[in-house]
Amino acid sequence: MPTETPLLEIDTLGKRFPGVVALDGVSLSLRAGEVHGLIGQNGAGKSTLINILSGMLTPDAGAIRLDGAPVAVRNPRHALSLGIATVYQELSLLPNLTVAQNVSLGREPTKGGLLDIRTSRTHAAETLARLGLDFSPDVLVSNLSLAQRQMVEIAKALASHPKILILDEPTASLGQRESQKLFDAIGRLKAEGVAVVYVSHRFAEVLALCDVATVLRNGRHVVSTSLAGWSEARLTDAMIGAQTASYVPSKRTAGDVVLSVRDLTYMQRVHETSFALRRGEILALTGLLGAGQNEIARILGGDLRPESGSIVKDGRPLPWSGPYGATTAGVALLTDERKHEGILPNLTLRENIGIASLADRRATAGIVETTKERELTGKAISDYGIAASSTEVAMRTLSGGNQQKALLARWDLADADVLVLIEPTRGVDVGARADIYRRLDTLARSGKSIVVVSSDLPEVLALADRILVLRNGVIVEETTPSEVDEEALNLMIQGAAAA
Amino acid sequence: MTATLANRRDRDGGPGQALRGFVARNPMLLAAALLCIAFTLTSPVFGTSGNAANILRQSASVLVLGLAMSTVVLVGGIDLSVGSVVLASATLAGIVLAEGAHPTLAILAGIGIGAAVGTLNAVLVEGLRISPVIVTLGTMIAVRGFSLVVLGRYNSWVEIKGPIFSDIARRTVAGVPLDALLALALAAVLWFVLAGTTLGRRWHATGDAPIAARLAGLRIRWLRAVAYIVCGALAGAAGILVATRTGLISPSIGQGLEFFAIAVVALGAGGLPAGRLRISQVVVGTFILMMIFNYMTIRGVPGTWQTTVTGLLLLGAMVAGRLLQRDSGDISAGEATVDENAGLSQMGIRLSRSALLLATILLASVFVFINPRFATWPNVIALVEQNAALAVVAVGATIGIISRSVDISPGSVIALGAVVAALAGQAGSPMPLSLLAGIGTCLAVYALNGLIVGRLGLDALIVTLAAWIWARGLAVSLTNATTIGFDMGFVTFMNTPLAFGFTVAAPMVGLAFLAGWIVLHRTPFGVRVYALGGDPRMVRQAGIDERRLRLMILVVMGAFTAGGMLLMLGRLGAAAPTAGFGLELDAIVAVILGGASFRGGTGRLRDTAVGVLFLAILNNGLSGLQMGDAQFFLIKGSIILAALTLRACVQTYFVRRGTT
Repeated sequence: MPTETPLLEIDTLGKRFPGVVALDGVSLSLRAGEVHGLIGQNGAGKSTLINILSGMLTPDAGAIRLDGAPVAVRNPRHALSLGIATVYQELSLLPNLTVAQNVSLGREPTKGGLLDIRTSRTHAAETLARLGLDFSPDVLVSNLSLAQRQMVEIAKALASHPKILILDEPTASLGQRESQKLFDAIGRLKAEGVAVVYVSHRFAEVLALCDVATVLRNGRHVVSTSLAGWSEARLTDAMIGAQTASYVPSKRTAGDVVLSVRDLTYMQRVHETSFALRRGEILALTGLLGAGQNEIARILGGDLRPESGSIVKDGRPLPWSGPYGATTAGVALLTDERKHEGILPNLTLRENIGIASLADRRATAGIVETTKERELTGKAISDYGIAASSTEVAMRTLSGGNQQKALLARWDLADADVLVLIEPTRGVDVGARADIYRRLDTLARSGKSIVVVSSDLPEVLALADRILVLRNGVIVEETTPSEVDEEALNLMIQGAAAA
Repeated sequence: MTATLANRRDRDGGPGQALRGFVARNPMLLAAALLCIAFTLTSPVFGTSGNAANILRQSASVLVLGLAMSTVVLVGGIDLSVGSVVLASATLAGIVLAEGAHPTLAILAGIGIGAAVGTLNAVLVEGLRISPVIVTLGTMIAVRGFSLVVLGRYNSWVEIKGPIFSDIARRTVAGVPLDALLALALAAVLWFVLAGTTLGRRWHATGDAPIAARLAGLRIRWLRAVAYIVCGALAGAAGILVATRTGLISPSIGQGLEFFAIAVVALGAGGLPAGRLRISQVVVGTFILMMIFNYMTIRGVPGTWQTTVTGLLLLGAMVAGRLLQRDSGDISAGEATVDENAGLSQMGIRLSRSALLLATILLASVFVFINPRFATWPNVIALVEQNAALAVVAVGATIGIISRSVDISPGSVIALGAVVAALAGQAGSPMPLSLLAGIGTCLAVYALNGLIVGRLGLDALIVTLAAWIWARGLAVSLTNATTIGFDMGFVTFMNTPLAFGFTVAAPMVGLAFLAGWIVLHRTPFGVRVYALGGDPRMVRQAGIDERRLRLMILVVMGAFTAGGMLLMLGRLGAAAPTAGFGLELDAIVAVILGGASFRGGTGRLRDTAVGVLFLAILNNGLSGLQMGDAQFFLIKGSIILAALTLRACVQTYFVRRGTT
């Protein structure tokens, strides 16, 4: 049960990135044996807070106190030695090593300089047992299911005997039964006096599991409260708040079907999904993390090859032939990994905008018509409001928002008539966000069709003509912004009985 | 929530700053100017117009080779076969001329054979996704063998005679030699292709960010394939220039030219930067290297030092480039397959392993059939002795490939270590001390590489590439390209049969494998080796000091190389500066054939053992057939490429079946 002295105190922590205030005076206190929910929309500051606690980022302002003494978490290793262990969303296990090797990596027990395999095995087995897992520590991680790997990940964090365990969306890849196992394990840890920070979008879990919760919004602290008497609706209210809409779209009208997708199946992520996209329409796909929306977008863009199913564009079947095939057919993909999968960092802004449309308009016999290219890209830069000193600056020097606008301009020039965007405003500052929404609206009005994958609910509601909600790789609901508000949409995504 | 590292460099205008900016962007141009001034001041000969013309002439073929290399470096690849292509092109052109055909035809033949080798490289690297380093090391050996076989039919030399050829060699235009003008014209053409055409733009994009380029709708594998073909054709053109200049085609032509090609690119650009290379940098790099060579000749430094200087300049350029532009992206390691992540099914792994075992048995049966002496006990002993050094080095290479620290220097380092030991012996130091000096040399080279890899985050592949060049060069220069004898006591000890006719070599191989196994599977270091190769981020997350780990890995590999050096020294009874040539390829091929992935994280010593056995049987069986070097290189290179192709085909098949 919670004791009186806080184990961890976070005092008016602040962190800013170029153009974005990620954390602004956030405070939180954590007691031993407490499960503390951390709630907020994307961009609310949860990840920044976690990264500061685990030593990946250093704060600009504020203080962290452990057992009353101020500390500065220098790096991940230091965080571990302070007793703070973090389990991230993305898996960090090495598939070619055994469970025991993964759990003890970096802290291998030795005897006379050689590995003490027996100790590391018993130690791993004990940790697995603590979590109620029944597989052998000698099994290779590559032979485990996704859910089992997630549990090993937690075992790895526990192996250092932390006082504070941070779990970031731990149930994203778990089924009902495995989730229950995890909750049982958290119950046991709680009884042992470990403090757990539990980050989740799934309010039902938070309500069932957590003693207290802290809600963040736009990098600010909203409330820290005991959860007794709280409902999912009340949590949603706290998370969303009374927002002033910075961008209000007017009505668009959709035309004929441009793209129809039938029975798309991919790995265990997407199951026989079908939908249609109309001309001049913005279609949003949303769902919890791992519900299959990202995979659908990547399949449309040719990045992933579906196991089965068909895509028909303008009445003609579109056989899979990679991004080249998709872009040639006029379907372009902008992923959430803009730094690695979008921009060409060392090429100039002009070259980045022009790269997808070199062949069709600004080159004869393979020679680039530079003057024409300059003219066209220059126009695109002013059209899209890209802030850059010239067309010749290296792409990597631009801010996230300007990079995203440049990528939109790239596909606008290439005349792509279907744009597929994953989290289009991630890492983009607030000012550029409205700009991007306006550009997408203009593009849709000019007859382009747009698919937006987003877990940012205000964004979905502001942009979309239609919304498809996915759960476990299947479309479970179709709705429109006029039929739902944020709360109702959130409940649909959560899979609660309402709506 | 990615923090954008925006606005790294904001520069303001102004004339003074513009000049400073120009110098900052072109540091090597400044270096070239300073070198030129220094050389002119310190030598009365250097600054003369006759000498300038001389430098220009010498630069012509090296510049064209540098241009060839820059096309593949630009897209993130590398081509080590360009030196052999020069020989092939010159040979073929000479033969076409000798057969009385028109010179134009001879030139086309030379460029054509280059393009053909380039196409082969392209198919293997981009079609089958085998690492470019290993593919082009293989074609380097096979193409050299092929050319020597062809040249052998003409008594190993062909005279170049023909109107166009002698014009190129002798004419000058306004005092500038014609061949230098031709090279500069090619540079101008390539500059235009890179700056002004869609192909050039797409090459830049592919090299800069392959994944982003792919999603922008570019066919990156196709684009890279074209780069390999253009590289081959340009290397063929360089071969024609070499032919015109020498006038006589002999087997030594083109040897080591791949070093110069890589060096001029790295010297000009400060590394091998994919996506960011400029042709002007290659031109500057070429003139720097050739001025230094010329000055060395004027000063009476023996020609054998050229390779050493090239390797050290390469290393210096990469280190300096890294220090100067720490924050601006990575230098490419030539790994062309990073964007295609596909796992291999269990079935595929098992099949490719048993396929190798089957191939080994098949190969042995063939040799048993064609050579009655193959399956005799003395030959089995010889097989072990001949390949003991390879086996020991292959253990180190396994550790290297598992941890994604591919090392291509062991052959050269062995030569250097043996030379140092022999020289120490010659200078009168006692035998154990001499051996210690040799071992120490091996470890020191690896420790130096390890420090550079760990501290500066440069890829092990390009750091050891520099060592591959300078260590070999140093071995040659220190001995003046002669073989030096070594202490008879040691040689006798190494060659005395202990039991069943086997010398100490056999137990040393066993010991090396045992040591390798203990290191990999019974020490924390071993687990981290696998972890580092699997995903370096995980190593950092687990709080392990990555720099120290990388240094350690190279030092451990150095210990195995030192073991190989002892075996080589003992078996040859002398230190030959050419010893261990091609050993690096054999060692890497043994590990890769065994089933380890170039992407790291996997690999088992017992699979390496089968790979070593395959190569040992190949080496021994071929040498038992009493053929010349030419045939040996040709057949061996071809079989290695065939085996890699087979393995890649099996993998591609199972990746497709297994995961989609």
